Amino acid sequence: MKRFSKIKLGAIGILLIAFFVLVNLPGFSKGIRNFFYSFSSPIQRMLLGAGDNMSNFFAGIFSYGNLKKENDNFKVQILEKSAEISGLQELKKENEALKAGLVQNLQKDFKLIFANIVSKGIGDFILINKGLNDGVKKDMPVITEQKFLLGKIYEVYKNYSKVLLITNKDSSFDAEILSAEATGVLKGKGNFNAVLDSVPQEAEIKTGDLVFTTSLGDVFPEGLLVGEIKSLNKNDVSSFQQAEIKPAFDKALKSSVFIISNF
Amino acid sequence: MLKNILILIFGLYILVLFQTSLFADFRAFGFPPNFILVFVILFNFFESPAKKFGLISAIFGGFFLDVFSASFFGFHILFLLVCAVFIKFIVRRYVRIPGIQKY
Repeated sequence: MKRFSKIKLGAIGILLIAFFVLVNLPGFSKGIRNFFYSFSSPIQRMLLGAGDNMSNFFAGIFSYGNLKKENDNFKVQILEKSAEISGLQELKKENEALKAGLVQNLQKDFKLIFANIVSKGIGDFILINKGLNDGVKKDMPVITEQKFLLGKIYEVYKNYSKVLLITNKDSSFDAEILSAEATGVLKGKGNFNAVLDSVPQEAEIKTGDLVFTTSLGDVFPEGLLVGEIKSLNKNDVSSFQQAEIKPAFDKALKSSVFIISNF
Repeated sequence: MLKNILILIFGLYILVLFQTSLFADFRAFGFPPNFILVFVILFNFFESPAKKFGLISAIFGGFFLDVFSASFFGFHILFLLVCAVFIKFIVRRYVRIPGIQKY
């Protein structure tokens, strides 16, 4: 009886190992994922929109305590702002013209592939609705409409791709602080947090400084906004300093994205 | 038996869809909620240790988490399976819940 259960356990173990080896074969795992994404993506996109509305609703409830105070402030502000509105009409027209030109400008700088966000995956990555059939390849940079760096293509399926966000723990690339003329290594910490490491101790960086991509390593095109410095971590013993980074992209990830196919 | 397993699989699929879309922006103590993990833990804790649905929920829950995550296939299956076996072991040995048939 004991021998039988040992054989049974061994067989289960071997079957499990065989199963994991089989499903992790590149073609097979991508096929399984693409299959599930193909019929899950319409539901996920619908739920993603509902989720945004729901989180806005709950954010409103949790800030109820401040509503009266805010209301009084707004009354004063309305009077001030109504005077400004007339002047802003001209600016609105100008803004609309600029917005229309934004996509054109982006397309002038890079060759772009437009994509929609299908879901927000487990961990810091997103799923987009463009894949091998649309010319997407692994490691292509992904940016927002505002030209903020979002991440890079991590895995490509037939009709979908996974984007590894810059805040993912597996993400690491060279970045620079233009105002201090200093470079460092930007590493993801997970949960929409990132840190700029290996910044020389003598570099004069401060909170609010903007961090951009560099052409070093050919990972991303130069000059894309990554984020801003949230806090500094200086240690006299170490020859390098560290800075917490607030990513430039909106965490809600509501907008569409662009994949840079050539830079 | 098969009908119950199919209902369980469908329920887990719906849970993972909710986790990756409807509740993707929610944070509990700074972390996104993991419904599958919570479900597997509770299911295995309250299920009779002699039954196997908890283990099945760990396997399929882990499979769906693997599909919608960036990790290699099997990572979440193994993790949830270890959790389920551990909970079953603890419940069988040390916990007595009134009203739940043990063997």
